[in-house]
This record gives sequence, C-alpha cells and structure tokens, in this order.
Amino acid sequence: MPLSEASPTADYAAAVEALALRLLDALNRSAVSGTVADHVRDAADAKAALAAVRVLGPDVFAPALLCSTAPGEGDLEVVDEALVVFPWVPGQQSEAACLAQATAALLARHGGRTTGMTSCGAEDAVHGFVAEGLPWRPWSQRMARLSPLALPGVHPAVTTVACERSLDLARGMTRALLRRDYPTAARLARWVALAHSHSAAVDVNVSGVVRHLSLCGAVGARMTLDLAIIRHVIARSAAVGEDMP
Amino acid sequence: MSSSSVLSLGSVLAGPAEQAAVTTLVTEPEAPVSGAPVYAPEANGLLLNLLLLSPKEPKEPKEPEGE
Repeated sequence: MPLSEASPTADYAAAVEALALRLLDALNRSAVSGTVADHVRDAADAKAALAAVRVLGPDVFAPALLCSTAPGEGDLEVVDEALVVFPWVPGQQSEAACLAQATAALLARHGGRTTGMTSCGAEDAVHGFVAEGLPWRPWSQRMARLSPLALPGVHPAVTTVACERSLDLARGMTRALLRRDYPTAARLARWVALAHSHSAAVDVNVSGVVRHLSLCGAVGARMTLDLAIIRHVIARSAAVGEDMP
Repeated sequence: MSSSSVLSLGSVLAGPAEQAAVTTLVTEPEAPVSGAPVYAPEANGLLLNLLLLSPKEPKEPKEPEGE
C-alpha cells in the first residue's frame, strides 16, 4: 500500500499526545497564550497537528478556562482552521460532531472567527445527544468519549445531565477501574469531579481515584492532562468552599 | 512555518481517510485488554473433574497390633 493511502490514525494519535503535552505544560505554568498555535507551527505535519486540535476539541481551551485567562489570537485562528479542514456534518449526531460543535461555540465565545460555520443551535444538539435515555453502560462510554466537555462552564446543560446521572457516571468509572481501562476511568472521573463540584451527590472518592490512576495508569500525555484537569476542578471546587470526598 | 502559512491549509479539506482517522480517535473504544475476572463456564467442569479425580485424603497409619 502506498504511503499516501495509508491510514493516518497513528500519526494523528501521536499529534494528539504532543498537543496534550503542550496543554499540560500550559496548565502547569498558567501560560496559555500561543500554546495551540505553537503546536501547529512546530509540527512536521500541519494537518496532523490540526487533527489533534479537532480530536481534543474543547480541551484546547482547558488552560484558558481553568487559569481564567484568554487564549491568544493565533490559537483561535488555529482552532478555526482545524474546524474548517476537519468539518462536521450538520445534523449528524455523534461524539465527533458534538465535540466540533462545542469547540465552535467556545471559539465564538472567545471572540474567534468561525469560518463558514455557525454555532447556532449547537448547544441544543449536543444536549440532545447527551440526554438520550441510554442504559448506564453505553451512556457512560458515550460520556467518556465526550470528556473534553467536562470543563467548568463549557456546556451548562450537559453538566446538568451529568449531575442528574452522576450515579451512572460513578458506575461507569468503577467498571473501567475494575477492567483496568485507565484512560476511560480518567475520562469518567472528569465528569464525576465536575458533577461533584456542582453539588451532585456522588459517594465516590474522586481524589483517591486520581491518586490511584496517577500511580498505576497514567502512561500517556492525554491521560495525564485528564488527571491534571481533574485536580484543577477539585481545587476550584475547594476554593469556593466545597469539600471533595 | 509561521502561523499564517498554517492557515493557508484552509482550502485543503481533509479526505475521507483523514476524516475517518479523526472519528476513530474521538470514538475510541474501551481498552480491549482487561485484567478483570470473567465468567468462564468451562471452568465448572474442570473444577468438578479435578475434585472427582483427586486422590483421597491420607489417613493416619494403623498402629501395629503387637504394641
């Protein structure tokens, strides 16, 4: 098979890890501006770098959201470019479409240009996808894939659904832990931590789960980023006077 | 490569294979390897056979009658 026809999945996965590492560094240093733009500028394959932006979706705004600073102008342009190069099908109900729509909404919220796309109605579409009455196992898997939405203030309606089904999130997280599927456990722990920060009744020791995952399962940059985001959510929650379990 | 040259990619839309790669990464399935114990019905027969075929428990040797 010629190289041009080979699946770029492995290259894109490596780019995702590289971008996650940059976001993790930005989160730790509270240095937000230029993170995403530098990622694309320094990449050998700019399209793979844009694909990483598209895969991580709202997580590219995580340092800005958690450090309460604004992303750089170049960052916003790169996010817009990623949405143009990897567009979503309007009306399609899927995790990829939800992440794209949420990313477009965040881009518009931060004053970025949304070329040829509109985020109108996007929040309703994402909410409808999440609020489907699935049993807890497939629903928690869906929520694990949508974990980039588990950031403070990204999507209040989806966060409300997560709070209402916090027990299902805890079930899914526990199941992933028992299966030693640590990436899925970390992604669901993000939702559990976010739900708890919104005073949802979750009788789960999220801090203990994060510690366990850090010691046993954090082998990739993306998962380490997930755990860092959880710690920020817990710290923010504690700062406003709520004790995490 | 500057940021502006990156933005020149705007006219190059991703092809089906590239779109599919992004979708694959977003809809990542559960980890296939699991260390959790799983139900194995054939293990019932194995345990039963081992129980039936196992040797009897050893008994204390009989003391000689002369003593």
